[in-house]
Amino acid sequence: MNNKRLLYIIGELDDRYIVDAAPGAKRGRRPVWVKLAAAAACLALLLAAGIAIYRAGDASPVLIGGVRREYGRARIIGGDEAEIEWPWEYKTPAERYTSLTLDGREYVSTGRAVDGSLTGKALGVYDVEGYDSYTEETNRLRAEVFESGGICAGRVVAVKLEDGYYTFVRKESDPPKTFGEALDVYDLADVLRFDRFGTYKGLKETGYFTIGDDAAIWEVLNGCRDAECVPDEAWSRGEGDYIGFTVTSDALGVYKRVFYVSGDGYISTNIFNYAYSFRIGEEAAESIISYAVRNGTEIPFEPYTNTLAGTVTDISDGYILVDDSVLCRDRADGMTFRIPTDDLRISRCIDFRKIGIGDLVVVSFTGAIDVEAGGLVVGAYNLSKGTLSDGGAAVPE
Amino acid sequence: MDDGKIIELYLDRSEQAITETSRKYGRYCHYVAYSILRSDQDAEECVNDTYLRAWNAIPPHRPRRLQTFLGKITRNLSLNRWEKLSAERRGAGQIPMVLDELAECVPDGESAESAVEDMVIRDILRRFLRRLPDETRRIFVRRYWYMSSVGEIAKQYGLTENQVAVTLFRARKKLKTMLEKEDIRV
Repeated sequence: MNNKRLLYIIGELDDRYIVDAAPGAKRGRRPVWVKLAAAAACLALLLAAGIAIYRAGDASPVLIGGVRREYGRARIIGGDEAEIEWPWEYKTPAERYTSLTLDGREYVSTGRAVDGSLTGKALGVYDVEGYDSYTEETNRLRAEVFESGGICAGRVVAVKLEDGYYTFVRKESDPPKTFGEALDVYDLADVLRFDRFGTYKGLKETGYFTIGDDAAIWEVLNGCRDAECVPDEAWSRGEGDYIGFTVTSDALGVYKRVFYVSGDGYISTNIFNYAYSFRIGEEAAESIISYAVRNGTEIPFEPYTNTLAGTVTDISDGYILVDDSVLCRDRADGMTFRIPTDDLRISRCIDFRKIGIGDLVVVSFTGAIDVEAGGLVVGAYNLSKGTLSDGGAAVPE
Repeated sequence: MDDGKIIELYLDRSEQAITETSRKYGRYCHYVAYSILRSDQDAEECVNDTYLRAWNAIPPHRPRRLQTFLGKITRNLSLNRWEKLSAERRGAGQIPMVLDELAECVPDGESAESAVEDMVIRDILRRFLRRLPDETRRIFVRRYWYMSSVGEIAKQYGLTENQVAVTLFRARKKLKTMLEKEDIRV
C-alpha cells in the first residue's frame, strides 16, 4: 500500500520535529526562557495570556513611561493583538521576513532592530524567507547579511531589510560548554551591560536597583571562564537568595532578558534564546551579588512593556490623541498623549480594529513619554480597543 | 537522570539503564504504542520490546537523542504489530483513518519503491515541514508521526476539531503538490 509506505517514511522525520510535537512537549526549550523573562518582568504574564490590562489599582499614583498619574479605581482592559497574524501588506519588513539559511545553517529573526553602526563584516547576499499564511506562499527577498557586533556569525547575524538592520539568531545550536566559550562566541563583554537588577528571596522580588559601573562584575565573570554549562534542573529560582540583571542588547537581538546570579554559585540566563546555567562557584557569585547590592540605587520596578489607556479624542496630523481623564480621580487632571501614526504597527491597528474618536483604547509602548513634546509616546507598537471596569468585572462602554 | 548518563549505563552494560529508561521515557513510549494499538497490553509488550532493542543496539550505537531513538523503535514495532493484528482482524486505533488521510497525499501512478526514491521523499518531507508554520508542523507531526486523534490534538493546542481537520487538510494538499512537482508516486 502506497500510503503505508509514506507512513513508514514519516517515521524517520528529524528528531527535533518529533520532540517539538511530543504530547505535553515544552515546545522546545522556549518555555524556559519565557518563564525566566516572566520573572524579570511581571507583565510578560499578560503577553502570555494574550491580554493587555491597563490597571489603576486602588487609587494609588502610577508611573506611566516615567510620568506620574493620579488614577482612581477605574481601569481599562484591552485585548492584546500580539497574536494576530497580520496580512502580508500589513506586516513590517521585520515581520515579513523571518528565516534565513546561511551556509546550511538556519536562522530566525528576533524582530529586533540593530543600528547599522553595530554591524561588522559583510557576509554576502542571501535569500531571506517569509511565509504568508493568507496565501500559503513563501516569499523570498535577497538581502545583505553582516556580522552583528563582534558576535560569531555562527550564532547571530544582522540582515539588512528595506527599513534597517535586524538580528537573526541561529535556530539550533549546541550550548556553550563553558562560560568562557559563551563570553568569546557572543562577545558578551562588549554587547552586554549590567545596569538594572532585582533582588530576590525565593520567587519573591525584594527590590529593584540601578547600578552605574559594571566593570567589577565583568572582572569577576572573566575569572569564571572555566565555569561549566550545567543541566537546566541544576538551578531553579524557587529557593535561596539571588539577583537578576535585566539585560537588553541590540547586537544580540534581546530585549529585557534576565541574567541571574545566585548565592549558591550559579549564573543562569536566557540571553542565548535558550536557558543556560553555569556553575561559577559561591565565592564568585557572592562577590558579584555583594558588589551589586552595595553599589545599587533603588528605583521603581520597570514593567516589561509600558501601557497607557484612555479615550481617543482625535485622529489627525500624523497622531492619534488619547486622553486619560476617564481614569483620573478628578477628571480635570486628565492628560493627553500623542501617539504617532506614521508607524505601520499603529496605523494598521486603527485600520484593522476600526478605531475611532470616542473609543477606549490601550496603547503598548517600549520607550518613554516626552511631556515637553506634548505627551509624545515613544516606541508605541500596539493599539487595541478596551473596556472600562470600575475595579470589578470589565463592562463594555 | 539526564540522557547522557542513561546512555553511559547502556555502554557499561548496567541493567539500571533499563530502569532509568523506563522511569524517564516509559510513559512516552507507551503513548506512542498505545496511539497505534489502542490496547494497554499490546502497547506494554511493544514498550518492553523497545527496551530490549535499545539494550541490543547500545553499544555499538550511541543515539544522539535518546527520546526519539526510543520513540522511533516503539513506533516501528507498534506498526508491525498493528499490521499483524489487522491481518488477524484485531487491529484498532487511529491507523485506518491516518492511512485514509495519507492516501490523499499520494499522487496517482505506478510506484517505483526504490531506496533512492525513499531518500527523495524524505528530503521533500524535510523541506515541506521546514516551510510549515510552527503550529501547523506540530499538528502534522502529532497526527502522522504520533497518530494522535484529532480530538486530542485540538485539546492540546486549544483549537476546535474542525480547525485541526482543516489545518491537516491544507497540509496534506501542500505535501501532495510537492510530491507531484518532484514526480514522486509514493
